[in-house]
Amino acid sequence: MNSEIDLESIREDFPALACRRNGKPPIYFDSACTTLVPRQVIAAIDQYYANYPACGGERSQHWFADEVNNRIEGDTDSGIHGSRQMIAEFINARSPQEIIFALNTTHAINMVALGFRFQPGDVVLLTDKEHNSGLVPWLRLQNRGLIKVDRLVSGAGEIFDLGEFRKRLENQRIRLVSMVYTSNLTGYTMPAKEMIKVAHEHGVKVMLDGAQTVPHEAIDVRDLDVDFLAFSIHKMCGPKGVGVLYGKKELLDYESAGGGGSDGAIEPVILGGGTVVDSNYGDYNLAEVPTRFEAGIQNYPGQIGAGAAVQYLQNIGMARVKAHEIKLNSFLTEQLINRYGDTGWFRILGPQAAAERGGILSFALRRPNCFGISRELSERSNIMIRGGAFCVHSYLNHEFGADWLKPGLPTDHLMTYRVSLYFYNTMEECSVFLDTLNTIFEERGYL
Amino acid sequence: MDQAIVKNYRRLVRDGFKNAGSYENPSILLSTIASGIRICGGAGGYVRIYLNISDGVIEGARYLCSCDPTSNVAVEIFCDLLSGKTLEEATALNEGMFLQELDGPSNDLRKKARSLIKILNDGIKQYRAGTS
Repeated sequence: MNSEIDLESIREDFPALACRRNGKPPIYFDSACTTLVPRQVIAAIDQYYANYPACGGERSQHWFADEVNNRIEGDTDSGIHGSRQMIAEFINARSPQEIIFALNTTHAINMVALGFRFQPGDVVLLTDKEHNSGLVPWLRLQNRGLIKVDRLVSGAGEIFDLGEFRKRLENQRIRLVSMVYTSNLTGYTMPAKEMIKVAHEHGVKVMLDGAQTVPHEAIDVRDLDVDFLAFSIHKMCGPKGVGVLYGKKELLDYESAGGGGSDGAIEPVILGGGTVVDSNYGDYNLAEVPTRFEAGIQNYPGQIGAGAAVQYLQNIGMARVKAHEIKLNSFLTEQLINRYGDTGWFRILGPQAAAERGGILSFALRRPNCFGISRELSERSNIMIRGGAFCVHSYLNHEFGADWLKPGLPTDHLMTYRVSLYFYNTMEECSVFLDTLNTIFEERGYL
Repeated sequence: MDQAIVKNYRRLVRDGFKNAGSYENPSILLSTIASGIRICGGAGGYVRIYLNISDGVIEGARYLCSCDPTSNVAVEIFCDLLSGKTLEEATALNEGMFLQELDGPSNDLRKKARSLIKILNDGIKQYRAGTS
């Protein structure tokens, strides 16, 4: 099998890449936010609305509903794989029942935060670089006095400190570890398998925020032995508004163990239509897993599109995706360090080696008025990157001071930018980015 | 950036931002915040301008900012234009006065000037209402 990505043919799959502004193509380097969508996914969504725009689930028994259900739940008689099965296979889950559709990663993490049966005094351990999605749900529980939140600071070289992690487990009443698998700020991917093994040795459950991992490399939840994994389909070529919570089946079935549940089992947070099999004026009976977690009419076109997205990625091959991103990131990293590494005002965030940052390259600038560079890159060359705090305010406020984004003296200005790459990006795009950035720096008198 | 802005901004980087700073108890505090600055921590277009007024005369204008170079050029010119002016004279400020400070045309500066003049006039109105 050829290890290289067939870029030309892949790029033809993405209609957005054919757009032009001022005669120039888009250079989309914001895939950590959300990815572009291939025509195969758009077609799957389009077909839903055109041909069978009906309810899924077991509500309706008719032609259109069957078409929807076959595409989401599959049809074992005719051997049709549904989206849920495809996603289960994509992350090597034991069963499609372990795949719960959510709105996005944030929603999926909240499902665990609000559905987990904590006892007073329980501690939830996070990293120091959680996205607000993996921080704020826990802070709310802490503010209500339900849990205590603790954080594990990265070790030397900005990598996961397994020794310190072990100490925390030994010395604190940690009930759940909830950590970002790949940082959306630095791109660093933690050694999850080793971390989970240690957590389990101490009887602690683990949830991973896989929003920046699942789209970029092959994930095997069975090999990892992770208890919960949250990720977003819109960051992996799928439609917006669809996320996934993977959970080990025994941890999704709180009720069947007499309400006590398997230790660490979660309850559904939102109840209503579709989540129960029966109700009377005084009580209700929950539906099976995963249906009980998917309240109300669902995003059926999105769920169907999710299957198409996963299939698209599988056809490319996740090993190729990862290798391509690292190749581009290595080039960018080397060029940026060669050009600005000695200036004292340019710094790459996280590990310095591109291979440890996947498709993410974030950098901090300390120059007067170093704001607005993402806007300028866009206006000059249609290059789309992100500037700001990337929803990791907590870490950046700790590193740079709480006022770092507030008005200050121009000589004290500081700003962070993130380039996030995906398999459809090219070396030529990287070169245009480097040249445009250099022109902006020159124009501003930074060089 | 417009070439006239580039030239002016490089001069600021080289010679210093002479109006940068703040007053502890300013007579008027003007503030402009670009939309979207807070969510997810996007930043830019955030300027605070401090005016010290004595006997109806602007004795000093200082600013703090987290903004792009064009905005910084605009606010430096703004502070220069305001210093020493009476409130009456300040309310007569116009976009042309900003552009005269540059060596060439700049539509971007014109837009920034318009925005600064608006918040200045609002600030002076509030100041007069509070001191009358």
